[in-house]
Amino acid sequence: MSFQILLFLLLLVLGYFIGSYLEKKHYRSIIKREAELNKLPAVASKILPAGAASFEQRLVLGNVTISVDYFKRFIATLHNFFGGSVTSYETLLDRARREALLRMKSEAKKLNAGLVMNVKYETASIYKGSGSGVGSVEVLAYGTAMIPKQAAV
Amino acid sequence: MKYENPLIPEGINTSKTHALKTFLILVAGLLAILIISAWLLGAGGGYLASKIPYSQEKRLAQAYSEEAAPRTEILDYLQTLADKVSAAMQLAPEMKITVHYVAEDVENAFATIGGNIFLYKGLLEKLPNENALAMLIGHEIGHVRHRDPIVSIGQNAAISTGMMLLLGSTDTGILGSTGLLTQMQFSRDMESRSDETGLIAVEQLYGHVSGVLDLYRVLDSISEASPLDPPQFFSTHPISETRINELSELIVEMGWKEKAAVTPFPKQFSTWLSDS
Repeated sequence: MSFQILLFLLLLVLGYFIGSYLEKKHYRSIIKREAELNKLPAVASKILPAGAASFEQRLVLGNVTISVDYFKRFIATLHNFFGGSVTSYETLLDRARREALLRMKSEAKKLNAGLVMNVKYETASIYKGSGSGVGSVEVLAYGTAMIPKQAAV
Repeated sequence: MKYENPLIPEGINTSKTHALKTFLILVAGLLAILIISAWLLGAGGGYLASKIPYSQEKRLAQAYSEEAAPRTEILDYLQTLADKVSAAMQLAPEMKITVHYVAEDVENAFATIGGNIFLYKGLLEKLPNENALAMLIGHEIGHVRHRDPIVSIGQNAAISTGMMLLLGSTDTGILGSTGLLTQMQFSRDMESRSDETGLIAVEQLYGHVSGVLDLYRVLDSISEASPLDPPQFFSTHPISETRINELSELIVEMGWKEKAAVTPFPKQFSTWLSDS
C-alpha cells in the first residue's frame, strides 16, 4: 500500500517536472515557427479569390498526437469530481491545434503555396473510454493550398 | 484580395492559474470531503452498531468459540479472576466474559466482540500483583460493557464501505478489513471510560485500589523501553501519565483506600507462565 502511494507521488512529481519542461520547450518551438510561417496565410474562407484560375489547388494536411502527463491527468480527474473548466487540458489542446496548423503550413510552404484556404480542424481523443489509460489527443488540420501555376513543383 | 494572419497574442486560450495552485485547491477539497464523510460515516456506523442486540454480537463472535483452548491452570486462574471482576461490575448476565490466554511474548491485551478478552503472556509477565491484573481485566471488561468492540466494528465497516463506494476500491472484505479478527481501534474517550469502569470494579472487588496504578506504570515502562515501536496497547490509548492522573483524581474524589496490602499472584503463577 505504501509502495503504491510512493509510486503515485513519484509519478506525480516526475509528471509535473518533465511535463512542464516539455511543454515550455514545445511552446518555444511553436512560437518560433509561427513567426517564420506567418508570411503564409491560412484562412477559413472557401470562396476563391479573383484570379484563382492561375493557381493549382492541392490538399495539405498537418497531423499531431499529443499526450498529457501524469500530473495533468490527475488534476483532470479531480476536475471530473468537482467540475469547473479542466484547465490542465487547455494547454494540451492549444499546443495540439497550433502544432497541427504549423505542420500543415510547412507542407504548404514546401509546395510553394502562397495561401491555404478552407482550413479545418478535426480532433480525436485517442484511448477514448479506457478510463485510466493514457489520455492523448489527435488534431488534424487540413486545407486547400493555393499554388501559383508557374511555381508548382 | 489580400490575405494575412495576424500574430495571435499568447495565452488567450489557456488559463493563467498555476497548475500547482489548482492542484492544491482540488486536493485540499478532496481531502476535506474525505475526512468529513469518514467522520460522518464513523459516527453513524458506530451509533447504529451500538443498537445491535448483544445476542447478535455473540453470533458474530462465534469464530472465537471454535478455537477454544485446552483448559490450563493459568487460563482457569484468569477466567476465575475475570468472573470475579465482572461480578463486581454487576455485568449483565448475558455478557459472559471469555478469557483467552495467548502464550506469546507480545506486551498486549485487548477486548473484542462477544465478550472475548485476549491476554498476552508478554504483558502478564510484567505485572507485579493480582490487583494490577484485575485492573487490566477490569479495563477490558469495561470495553465489553460499553459495547466498544461492536461500535468500533460498526464505525470501521461504515467507513470502509463508504470509502469503497467513493473511491471504487475492490476490497470487499468488509468485516475482514475492520479488525474483527485483529485488535480493535478504540477512541481515547472509550479508553478513559473503560479505565474508570475497571477501577470502580476493582475497588468493589478488593475494597481498596492499592496496586491498581502499577498497571499503568508497567505500561509506561514498556513504551519507554521501545519508544520507536510502542506496544499496540498504546496505539490509541491515552498517555499513561494522563490516565494515572485521571484515575488518581477519581480515587481522591471517591475517598477510596490507596494504602493496603496488595494481593500477590498465586505461588505457581510464574511457573504457569513459563510453562505455557
